[in-house]
Amino acid sequence: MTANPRNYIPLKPVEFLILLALAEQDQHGYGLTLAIAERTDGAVRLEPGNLYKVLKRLVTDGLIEPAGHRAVAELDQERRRYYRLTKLGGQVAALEAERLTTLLASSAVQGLTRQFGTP
Amino acid sequence: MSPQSISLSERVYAALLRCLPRDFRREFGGDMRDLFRDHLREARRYAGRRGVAALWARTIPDLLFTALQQYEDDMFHAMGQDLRYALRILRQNPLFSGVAVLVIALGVGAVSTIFSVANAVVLRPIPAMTRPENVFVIERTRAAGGNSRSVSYPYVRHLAARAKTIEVAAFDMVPLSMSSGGAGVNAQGNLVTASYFDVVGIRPALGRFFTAAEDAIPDANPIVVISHEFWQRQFAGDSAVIGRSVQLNGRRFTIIGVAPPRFTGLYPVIRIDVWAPLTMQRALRRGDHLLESVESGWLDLVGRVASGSTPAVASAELAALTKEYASTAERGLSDDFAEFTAVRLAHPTGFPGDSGAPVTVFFVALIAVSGLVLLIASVNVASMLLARGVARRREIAVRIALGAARARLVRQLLTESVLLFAAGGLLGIALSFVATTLIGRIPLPLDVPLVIDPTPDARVLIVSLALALATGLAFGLAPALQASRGDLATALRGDTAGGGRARSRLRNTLVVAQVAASLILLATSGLFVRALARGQRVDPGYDISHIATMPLDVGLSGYDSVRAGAFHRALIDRVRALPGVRSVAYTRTLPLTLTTMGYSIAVPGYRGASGSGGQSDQSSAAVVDEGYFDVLRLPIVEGRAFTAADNATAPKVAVVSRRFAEKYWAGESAIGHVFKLDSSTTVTVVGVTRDVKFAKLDERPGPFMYLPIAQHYRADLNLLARTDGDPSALAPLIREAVRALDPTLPQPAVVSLERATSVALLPQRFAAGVTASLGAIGLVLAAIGLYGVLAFSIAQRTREIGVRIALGAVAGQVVRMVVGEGLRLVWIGAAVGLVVALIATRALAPFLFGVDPFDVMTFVLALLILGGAGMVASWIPARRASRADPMTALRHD
Repeated sequence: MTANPRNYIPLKPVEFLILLALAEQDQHGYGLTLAIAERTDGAVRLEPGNLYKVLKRLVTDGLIEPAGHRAVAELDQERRRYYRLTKLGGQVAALEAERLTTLLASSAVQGLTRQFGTP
Repeated sequence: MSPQSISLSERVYAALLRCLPRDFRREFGGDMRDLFRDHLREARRYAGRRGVAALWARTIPDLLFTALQQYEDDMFHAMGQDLRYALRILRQNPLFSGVAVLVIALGVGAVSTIFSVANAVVLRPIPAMTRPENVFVIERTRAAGGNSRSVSYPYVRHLAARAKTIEVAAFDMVPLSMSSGGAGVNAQGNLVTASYFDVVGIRPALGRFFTAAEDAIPDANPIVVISHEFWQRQFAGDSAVIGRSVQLNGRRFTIIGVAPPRFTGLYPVIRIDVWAPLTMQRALRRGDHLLESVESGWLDLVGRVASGSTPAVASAELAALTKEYASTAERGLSDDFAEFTAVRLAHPTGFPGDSGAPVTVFFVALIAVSGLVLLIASVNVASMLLARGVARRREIAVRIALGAARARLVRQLLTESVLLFAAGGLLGIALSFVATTLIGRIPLPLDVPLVIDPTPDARVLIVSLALALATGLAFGLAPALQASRGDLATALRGDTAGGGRARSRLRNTLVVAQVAASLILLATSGLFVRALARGQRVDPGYDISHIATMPLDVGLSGYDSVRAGAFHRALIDRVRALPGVRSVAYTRTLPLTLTTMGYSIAVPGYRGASGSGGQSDQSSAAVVDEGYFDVLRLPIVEGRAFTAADNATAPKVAVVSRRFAEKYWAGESAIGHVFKLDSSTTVTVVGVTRDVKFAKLDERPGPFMYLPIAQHYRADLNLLARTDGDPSALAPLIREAVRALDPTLPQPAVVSLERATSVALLPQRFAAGVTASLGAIGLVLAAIGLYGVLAFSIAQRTREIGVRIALGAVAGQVVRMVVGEGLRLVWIGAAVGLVVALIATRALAPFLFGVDPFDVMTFVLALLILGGAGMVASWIPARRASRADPMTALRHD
């Protein structure tokens, strides 16, 4: 029984950001918070509870999976648990990206930007 | 930037992590701590102490939110899991679940049904009123206790004109006969002050209500408001009804308004069809000077407390006005104004007069009895659950071994029992719908139109379901705690022999409770059945069998006393000539219908028992004609009965009861003595009769007198006709005789006197029917439960019994032992039940017709029935156990 990726759309922004980060490379918790903060210009800062709550849900849904503990060079070789994207997770993220692309390309969004956006 | 401060923050964080649910902490606690350390490092690196502070400011809410959300998720998840699992388990044992649900349904159904009836009669609010919490029945009280509710019209006007903190209204019940050409219909009416509608707080559905001006001048405004229901029934909801004129009691009235839907007066059990201005009293109701009379108490008083005032303030004001009225009122003001000086505001009970309190007590008693059935049913299911807990010990032990927490197991088992009780509760409510429909069909032998709709409403549904869930929790808890108390080693070995001391103690307690509840139930139903039997056997002092009776008030159809007298004479001649009729008579009040008339009398030379009562005394009376004593076979023991010669112009006479004669003329013949009636008429005693119970079967015969109709004439009379055969066979003939004399009169109802008087036994009949049904259900449930528990505990001891038999015990000994143990529990339960029943049944005494609440017969019988049930319930499984082949029994696990 393969799950239909469409059943997971739309994703919450945080979920999408996590999937996006994991699409680039497997990550540990701290790595994810850094990557997401960077991608959102510091607008999204994930605290541990919030992050692992979402990770738990993504694992339960089968979009990501734990990828074991590895030593992290930047953290003085301390060991951290890594997560990676599953195939389903990749499909869902791609589908969500398509959805957002279509949304952003819509005339409504363009009109909005023209009228209220920063020059 | 000491490593110590880092570890301090970390240590605090690690401690705070404990607020997360255990599962989540186990899974992610380490990672979260690591991430926190990473963030901490980063914060220190870039922002020093301020960075750490900012980090904490974000961390604390983060932890709190996460914890809350996870707990919530877990709970719903676990609840869903519990429910799914419980459903699966219950579906796997359809027999167990079915029986349990059925048993609970009987219990909940019993309570729900009785509560529905009580709800309909006592609790349901008067419909269509605005702010009913401000509406009060006004009654006067006296220091010595007791109250007086009936008041005169001048008193009402005194209050209404002066009271500022409460708006006052008065009303009176009048039977009406309405016609708009053709045969009339009977209707129930209220004479009301114009303020009535404001006080009650209703708005007309159509047209308007009376104005104060229309209620000011006597006889000036023949207008009426009709009920919405009457409008639908009699006028098919035609809006052109406003302005229509109808004949009411022979007088022409104009309909000016329709009351809102469902409003049928302040006593919702008595349906009111028509409201007329109080000042139209003379047109609709007897009493030429009622409106002026300061003596006659004939009105019920209600009031609406003004906004900004309180009931206490209002009753104080009314008390002051009452005092003022009593001191200024003209001559003849009745004594009770000297006595009843305080005023009390009571919430309307939906019942006239003081009947509210006994009715409430009555229903509370019945609800308690139905509660016993639910108790027995619940105990049954609890012992079933307990037994199943033993059967499931292996499953439970495995789950404990696999790491299930005990709390979680208990919750799981509780979910199962609550689910069972919820299902049983729903089925029970369905049962109560059926039962109340059946109860609603029982015709009531009353001449007022009682409207009782016992169909369960939202209140009944909520109470019943809440009750089912609460009992599910209460009776599921002990078995669940018991079942989850696992002795892993024995349970896993599959050893189900015995069940532990605690378990059998709980089981025994359940048996004892069940037997006790059954005994109380049986005793109660036995007492009511005995009361009913005694009530039916009570000899009132005359013979009410083989008599047809018919109420007839031609005054309502506009007859004056001359025409009415001629009509009555013509009718009685026609009825006397009917085939099978032995004798005929008229009486103003029917015996045994809870009503009597009271007269004040003054007997020369009599100074009262204590000497304080003065010369005036009260006596109950019946106004009857010369045929009455003959029709009722009421012997005249001295002197004579009335004759046709005792007419309006002849000297006034009376026939008195033996007690009457003994009270006033002890030691001499009463014949020829005189007394004053209503302080004006002088009456001579011409006859003495046997003592009778007149109004109620449980009354003690007191002084009683009979007055001749011809000398106290009224147009509303009851015809009595004694026949050789079935009195109801006379009905069409009597009705035909009425129609032949005047086809415009409403169709009178002809019933047997036995049926008409069965109202005297109504509470007992209802209670006996209800408690006997409940008693039967309870007994069956208790017997099944007893059998189940004993059978189960004996099955558990199969191996022990096998050993005994293998060691040489004779089957008979084994049976005796097992039955003896079963009966021991029954006797303990019976003893407990007996003690409780002896205390509780005392409250039933007012309804028992003098059957002693400690009636030995009833209790002995209840004990015998229970003992018998216990004997059978323990003998069957005992015999099965004793017949078991010892080898099989020994292998039994």
